[in-house]
Amino acid sequence: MSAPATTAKDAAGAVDLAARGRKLGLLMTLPAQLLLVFIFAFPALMQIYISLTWWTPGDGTIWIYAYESFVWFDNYVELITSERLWEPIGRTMLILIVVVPVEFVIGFGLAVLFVDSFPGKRVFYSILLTPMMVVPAVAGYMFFMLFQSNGPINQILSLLTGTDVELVWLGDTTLAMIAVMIADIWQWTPLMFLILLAGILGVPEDQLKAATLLGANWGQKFWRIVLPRMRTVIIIAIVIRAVEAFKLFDVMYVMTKGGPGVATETISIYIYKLFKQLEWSYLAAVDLSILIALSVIAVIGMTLMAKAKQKRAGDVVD
Amino acid sequence: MSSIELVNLTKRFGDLVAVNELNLEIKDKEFVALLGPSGCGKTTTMNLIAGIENPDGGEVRFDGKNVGSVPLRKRGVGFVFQNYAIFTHMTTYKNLSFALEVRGLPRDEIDRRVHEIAKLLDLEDRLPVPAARLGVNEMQRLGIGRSAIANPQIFLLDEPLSNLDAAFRAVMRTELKHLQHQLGQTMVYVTHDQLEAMTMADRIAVMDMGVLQQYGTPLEVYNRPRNLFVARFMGSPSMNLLYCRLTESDGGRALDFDESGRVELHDEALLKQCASARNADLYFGMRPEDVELSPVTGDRGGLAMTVTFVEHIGARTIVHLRSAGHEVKAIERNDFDVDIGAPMEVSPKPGAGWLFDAATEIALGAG
Amino acid sequence: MAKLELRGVTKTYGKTVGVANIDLTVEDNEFFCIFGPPSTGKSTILRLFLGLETPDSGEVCIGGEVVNGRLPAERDLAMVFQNLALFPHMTAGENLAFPLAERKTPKAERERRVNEVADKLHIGPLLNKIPAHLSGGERQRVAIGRALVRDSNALLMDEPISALDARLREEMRVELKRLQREMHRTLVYVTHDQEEAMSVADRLCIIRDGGIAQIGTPQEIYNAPNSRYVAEVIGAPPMNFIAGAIGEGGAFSADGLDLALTFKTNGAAGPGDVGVRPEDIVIEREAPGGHAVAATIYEVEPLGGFTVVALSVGDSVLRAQITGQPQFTLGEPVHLSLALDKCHLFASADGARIATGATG
Repeated sequence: MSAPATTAKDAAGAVDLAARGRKLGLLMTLPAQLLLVFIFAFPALMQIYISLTWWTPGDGTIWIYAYESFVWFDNYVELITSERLWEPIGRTMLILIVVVPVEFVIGFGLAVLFVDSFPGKRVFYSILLTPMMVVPAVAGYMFFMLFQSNGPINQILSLLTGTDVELVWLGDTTLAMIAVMIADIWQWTPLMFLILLAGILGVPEDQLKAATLLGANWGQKFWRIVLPRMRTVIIIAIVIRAVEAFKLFDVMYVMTKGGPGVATETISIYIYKLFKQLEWSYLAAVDLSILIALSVIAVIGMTLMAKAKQKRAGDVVD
Repeated sequence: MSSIELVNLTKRFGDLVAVNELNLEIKDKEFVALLGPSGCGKTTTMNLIAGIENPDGGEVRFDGKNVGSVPLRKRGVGFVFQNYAIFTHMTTYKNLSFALEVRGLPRDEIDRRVHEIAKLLDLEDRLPVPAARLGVNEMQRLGIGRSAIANPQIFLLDEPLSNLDAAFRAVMRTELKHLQHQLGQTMVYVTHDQLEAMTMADRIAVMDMGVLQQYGTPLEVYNRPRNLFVARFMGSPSMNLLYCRLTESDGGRALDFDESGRVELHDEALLKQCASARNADLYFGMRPEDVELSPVTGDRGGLAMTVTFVEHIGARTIVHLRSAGHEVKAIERNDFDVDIGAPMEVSPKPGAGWLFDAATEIALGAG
Repeated sequence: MAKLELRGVTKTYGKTVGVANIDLTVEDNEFFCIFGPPSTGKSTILRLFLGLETPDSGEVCIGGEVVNGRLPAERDLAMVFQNLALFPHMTAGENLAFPLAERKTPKAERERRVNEVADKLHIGPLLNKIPAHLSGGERQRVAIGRALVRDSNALLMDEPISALDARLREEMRVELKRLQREMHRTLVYVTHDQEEAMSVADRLCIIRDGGIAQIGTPQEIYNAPNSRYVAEVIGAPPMNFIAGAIGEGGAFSADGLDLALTFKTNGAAGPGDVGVRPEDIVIEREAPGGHAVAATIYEVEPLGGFTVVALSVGDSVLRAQITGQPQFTLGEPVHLSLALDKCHLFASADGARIATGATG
């Protein structure tokens, strides 16, 4: 402790030790806070600034002079009305709607299997987690090769059906979407599995035991005890995956580059194309809008979570 | 009919033998306490009866039939966990109705029985409340009610009163005992509190290190402890155990306590015990309430000791005395007072006292 | 050694009241025990003395000086926490020496004091072991030793022996009392075990909901509780209460029972409760006449040295404590008589004690 308190302080009465602690904490985290501000706030402000202009590096000036081509909200209006933007969004949503539930169900199934120990559990565990650890670009290339017309997937299908299967996966608009979805499911199911497994393990074991002793069978325990208690975790898993799905890029770009044509062009790929075409101010506007949309989703998710938590803690939520 | 029989029951956890060849029979409608310090195997024994653990050796029998192959959820035993394991994400009502709902009983029957048991346990006005918001005392009653509603013939309770405050514990002891009489179930109760076991049980099974030490009624276990462990474990303060030697004296036997003195043995029960003494080194056991204190006169044939401490704890007074090599605690009435350092003569009340072999630690005559 | 005082101290935590406007004096060299059920403010009082909390209003005084502004380290108090908080990487000896090492006491003096305390607590041979290698009781003694090693203004202990098993607790409370006497320390001791509180305290303070219910010697509190709450909370089995009404001239008549007692009241009237401790109820098989009450045996709890008999009287259940091992059958009709001089009369409205000692 530092120097002893002076008589004046004694006479004055209470020295709030908690307030002292807070001030010290503030001072100590100041460098980190400043760094965060620089890394986060500064680029964000810069992006907002640019999005209100019609600037591109092609103009020949640096971004600070973007104010010379202020167009205010024209970019935003354009992105809302532009068909060219809504197609990728639609595609991304389609992928999302298919992949997330599939990953959820498979992930949950796997999690349930992993609750009790079985021989070789550790080995299987590592195998299951490998897809997540593969570099996405590598995974993309792997699937690119798998889905070739003369590739392994077609060969396996030929064997299974007895006929000669020569699907042009990456050349057909529908098949390409399916291929991309399969790649995503392969890569991200392990994440769902992990989160849900943690959730299942978080269910108090003695409550499950008590339920068994009261005569509940496996199914009854699942519906009445495990699932209700996993509400929070399930919401987290779905929100995380949904938000991530919006950002799909690596695997898909390597597999299809958004093709054939624009059949598998997701929003991230579209943004990348904008970047290459140097339409940076429009890009900034699109980017910010997506950020806002995703934030709204996240907030909705968190509110749902808070409600679920409250309900469990016993307070009635109106 | 629901008697329980444990036959050569054994359970190991790695190198540790938690339950060691336990043989115990619990009669139909009997209230038996499994009593012992932590780690003695009492909770493991109960888990074996319930089916939460499976034995490594021996059998658990209900009404003479081996239930080893009966799965946990079909054993039909009620179980109250030490921390109650209430379903905190459900209301009190749903907790109570759980056992009946999983059996698929009709809604109005469930409703009737939930209200019935809620009334019995004084939880009726708490039925719609989320169980997580109940007070500890209410949770305990809910833990019991949740199991009781299915009318199990056998009820197992794992230290159910240990989380309650002292005042409520005293009330619940009486109520649990009364409840058991009313519902007519066989009850097995695990505790480390000898007072609780004495209060509620028809018979007490005292265990230590996985081995049964003694099995008898509370008063049997209290008055005639089979070995030093049981003698020390029962009673608060615990039994005074004084090391001594058996000698002859003119016309009979006496116990020699070295410098502290000598006690002539006239009591029939004690003399009978002496007859089966294999050697002269003994422990003389005397319960604190059976100790008579009197001013030193020299002709009562007791031990000369000095008062070292006096505790006034309300209804009684505990006097601590010491002499060379021996320590004694005596219980006296509320208004008894004496100075520290005062010399006193310590002797057992007529009919009191119990002898143990110092080497084997087993009571004389107990085999 | 010094006197500790709280003058008009209030401390709230948001909406919860920790302590409300309490006045408390712990005399020099006193074994002062604070007793109450969990979460009623006992630990808050210790924390206020220590300086881990600052009062919202009022003064904390040590040795007559107001210490509100002083940091805990400057108040010179020693504390034993409920979870002991021994330094796990240091040996017992190093733990004991820590308070002295911190104050840069010379090594020779440090060793002398550590050995002195270790001797008093019989932990001399354990000084080289780390806490993980010690039993629960041994760890307790090291924690207590660490508090004793300095000549602090006072010792504060927060339920130091509640985690031990029953027999160790019985021994340790006698040890603590002896130590306090021998070493002439002021000791403020928090517990929720009423037998322990009665045994060790020079003076006992009963806390209720952040306020003081009663302060006095254990005997005073046991024999003359000033409220129903205090009467219920000290003494096991707890005091019995019989509801009824107080009428003219202190005449009490019980509800639903044939029991009438007269107390010396000062005109108090209205609903009242008579309190009588279990050891002051006598069970007779034949009616001795006069003020005996009819009852039936509800439950018998044999506790070895004595027996608690629960009796059904009218609509209520009373408990009597009888020495020895008398035999009763459930449902047997008997008669009760009460030790009149030990009966207390409480007002039902506020629970305050009106009188003690009745005439038939």
